[in-house]
Amino acid sequence: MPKVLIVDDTAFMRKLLRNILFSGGFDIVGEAENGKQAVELYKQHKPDLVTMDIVMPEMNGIEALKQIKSIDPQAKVVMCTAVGQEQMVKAAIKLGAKGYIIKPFQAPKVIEEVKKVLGLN
Amino acid sequence: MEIDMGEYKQEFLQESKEYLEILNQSFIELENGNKDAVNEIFRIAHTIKGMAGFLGYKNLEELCHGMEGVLSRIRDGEMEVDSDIIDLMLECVDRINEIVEKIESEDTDDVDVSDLIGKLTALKQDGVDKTNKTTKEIKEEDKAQDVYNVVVNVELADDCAMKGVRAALILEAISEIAKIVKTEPDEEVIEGGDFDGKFSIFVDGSKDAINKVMKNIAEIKSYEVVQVGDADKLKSELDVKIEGEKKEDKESRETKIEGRKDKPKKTLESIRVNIEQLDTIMNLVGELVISKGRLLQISQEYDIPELREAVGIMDKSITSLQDEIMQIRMVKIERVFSKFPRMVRDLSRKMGKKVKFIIEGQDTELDRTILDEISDPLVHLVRNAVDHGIETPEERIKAGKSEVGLIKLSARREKNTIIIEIEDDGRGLDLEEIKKKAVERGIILPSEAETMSDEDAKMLIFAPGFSTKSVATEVSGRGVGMDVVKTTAEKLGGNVKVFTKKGEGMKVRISLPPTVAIIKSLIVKVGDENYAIPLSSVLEALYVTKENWKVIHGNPFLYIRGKLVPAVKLRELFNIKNGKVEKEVGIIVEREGERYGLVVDAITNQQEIVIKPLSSFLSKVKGFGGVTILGDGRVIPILDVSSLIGGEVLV
Amino acid sequence: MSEKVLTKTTAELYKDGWVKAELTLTDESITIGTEKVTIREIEDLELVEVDSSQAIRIKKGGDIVFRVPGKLQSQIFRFLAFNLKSDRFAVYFLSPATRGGVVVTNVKWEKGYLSITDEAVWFLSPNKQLRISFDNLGSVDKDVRTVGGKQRVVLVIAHVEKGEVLTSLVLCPETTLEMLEHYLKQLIEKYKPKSELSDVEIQIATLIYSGVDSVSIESILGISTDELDKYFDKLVDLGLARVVKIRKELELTPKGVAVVSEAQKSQNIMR
Repeated sequence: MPKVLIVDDTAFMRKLLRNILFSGGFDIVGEAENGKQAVELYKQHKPDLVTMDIVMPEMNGIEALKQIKSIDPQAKVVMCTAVGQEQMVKAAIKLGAKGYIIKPFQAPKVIEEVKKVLGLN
Repeated sequence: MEIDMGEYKQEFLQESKEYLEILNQSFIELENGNKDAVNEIFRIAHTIKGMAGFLGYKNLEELCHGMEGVLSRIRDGEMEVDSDIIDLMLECVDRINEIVEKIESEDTDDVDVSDLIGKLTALKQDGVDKTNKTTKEIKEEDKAQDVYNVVVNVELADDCAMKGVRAALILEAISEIAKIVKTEPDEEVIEGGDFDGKFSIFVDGSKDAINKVMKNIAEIKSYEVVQVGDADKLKSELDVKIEGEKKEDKESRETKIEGRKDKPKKTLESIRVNIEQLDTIMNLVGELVISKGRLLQISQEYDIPELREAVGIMDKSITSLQDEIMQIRMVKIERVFSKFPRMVRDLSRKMGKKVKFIIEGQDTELDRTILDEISDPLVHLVRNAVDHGIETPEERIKAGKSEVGLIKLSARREKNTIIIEIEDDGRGLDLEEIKKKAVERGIILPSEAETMSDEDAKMLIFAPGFSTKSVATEVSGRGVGMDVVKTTAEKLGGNVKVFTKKGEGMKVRISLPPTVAIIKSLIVKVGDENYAIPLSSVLEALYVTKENWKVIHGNPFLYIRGKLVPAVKLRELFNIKNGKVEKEVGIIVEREGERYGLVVDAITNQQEIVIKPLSSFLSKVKGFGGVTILGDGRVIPILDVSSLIGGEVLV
Repeated sequence: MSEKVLTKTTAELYKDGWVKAELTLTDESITIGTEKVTIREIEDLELVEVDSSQAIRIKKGGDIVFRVPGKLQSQIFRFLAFNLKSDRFAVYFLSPATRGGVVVTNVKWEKGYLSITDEAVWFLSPNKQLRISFDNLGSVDKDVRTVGGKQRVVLVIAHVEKGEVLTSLVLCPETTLEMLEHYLKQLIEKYKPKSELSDVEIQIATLIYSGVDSVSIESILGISTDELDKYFDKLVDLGLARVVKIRKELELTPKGVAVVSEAQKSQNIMR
């Protein structure tokens, strides 16, 4: 099963994503509540994919994306965004994010995006 | 196909000017560490480049292209922003401004840009060296720019929520494995999300690799990757191809323009109006208001109720018309404020000072005539703050202050007044020094200097001939002295106040009315004379009785609710002999918190009047803010409460 | 000045059932049988469904419901919508701009009015008279959009229609825009559902939206089935959700147990 790292500052969103991804057949190897933790956990687990919230305390998702990308240029990071954050997502894409999912999440869309990014069809 | 270029030129000029302002601001933001600003700047440079290319302004196009090159390296984090880069970029902005002005006046962009292009290229090269590319390689890349061998046609899923972002993702993914030559519609349009979900990407790369990438992107309804020919073959037929390409490009552009042309017709939401026309309309409304007053008077004199009713209805329309025009004339003070960050930056850099510049209340609206008038005085005040107010970093440290000086420019509306403040934490005014200087310049007598209050001493800086910088030096700009600041504010019906403490800074507060021209006023009568008092300064009116009329030490006062308010009888002030009433009326007026009682015979009316400013020698008469014409054609003076209270008349 | 009669027709008035009545529409009033209403005093207007046919409801103090045969009904509705008592603002509008978060492509900017009546906000144009009752107003916010190739500040109004969230855009001079935003926000505040949702309730709503099933919701939030049922009931009561499926919880009868035990013996069923 592909390994996923979930990054979001709210416990609720983490649980929700865990539930959606788990039912989609993914293995959740870790949950981080800010960018700093995300970078640490990435080093530890080398997940196949990261779902990355953008607005977070300590270190935001964009910065975390940059650092993860510098550790592993092949890292597959999917940004979690909300309507109104288009500019930030675009910036993230330029920085190497491979996809994005929109809050509030819809399970089928999340699964589709993650599978596509991982090349599972 | 003939296109009306003139129309586009006009639009281009207008937009360019707006863009230039944003550029100035954004570069300052970028310098101050806001990295996101570079995206906006890049977009603008790109837009101007596009428009310039379309209208055939080669130099401008080239200059923007050069800027883009540097900007993209900054954006991609390959280049660190420093003040030198910003200097160069701002120089480019100034040059663009110059070109735009030239285009406007002479319809040509014949301005030399080679010096800047040289600098930009050198700067860009710095970054290029880092990526280990030889110039030869770059040249080759440039040459191969227009060649593509694969076209990718994409249609996004119907329920794709952020189409622009999805498209950006696709473009980014493809650009990682191939070279994107162009897109249809343009990349910006697509990434802006302003399209129907279908677009084409023209790529120089491998079909299979692209297929592989496309397969792994979600929310795509359908896509096809089409091979359009052999790349090598294309390269050998480069010239022909480019020729044809250009033609095709032009055609597609032309059709696009047509589409654009249709659009405004359907969704026309604003038009540009010449400000002079607006002024004419405003004047005509003024005349209408006067005519209305005349009609109203006729209806009363001849007691014609039908006419009165009709005039009543007309009155409503005129009021709405007037309000609308007033609204149209209102503009955000941002228009003037926006040029200051750049100015402060350049100035402080030139003078070796460190300044943090804060702007507040940019959204405050005021009449554009007022805004235009106050613009130059504000420039002077802000320059003054940097020039005289803020000390050098060394001096500041010595004085125990942070080495970065603070200048705050703010605007706000307080009831019926617009307050603009320029505040700095610099050295403040040295009142003794000022008095000394004023004596030297013969503005006051030495004896006056001794007895002068601090309040009056502060105002000396506004005296004509006081400011040494009233000669046009670079710093004081257009030769606007401090005296002009005060006279302009007063001419507009406002005033200026100074707050200062030596060594701690200074604050200049300009109070202005938000609109001009038509004001509500009380018409009062003294003897046979009529005067208008602006309602905005009237607090209340009351009968003067034995109980409330007091004379203390020879000075008259009105005793109101336990407080003494200094008062004056206009009858005496204006030396009016005829007529006398039993019960006089005291009108309590206020200016800057000070109250005053004006005693008149009676209030005859409350109405809207059109201010006709006094011209030439009459404008020097203190106490009057202008005249107005009543409905019956009589001309009456409008009392200027501030100069009355300011003591200039009463003392 | 006498009233100008615009149209006369037979109509039906609803009074515990349809009653035939003469309808007279003048430039100032509408008369249906014995009911006469001055148009300028009509407080609200709505197309309603009565006995599965469409009718017009006029609110002026009480309600008057009537229907007119054929095309005339929509013409009368349009006339009333444009002339009833309301605050009207001349604007450009695009409605709906999005439906369920997806951009609607075949709508165009229209010149018309944003009209506010006693119970609803209207988008009025010759072709469209869209009524959004205050209950269906979601949010109002300013945003910058590209209109006619220019960046313009517009008002984004979110509203609900048949369970879908739509947004409409309004463009007008900025001062008017400011005022409208304020006005509409006040209205929304006033008509907000009285009982605010708690955090848990919002989380539950979000989970439902995300497609999480009831059992998972219970485990994610750590609540019991009974608790969740109570929250569900509240969401349904507030009109925020509806029941699509009721899950059954079962216990086997002895007979059922026997069947299961038997099945264990034949190996190929459960492995």
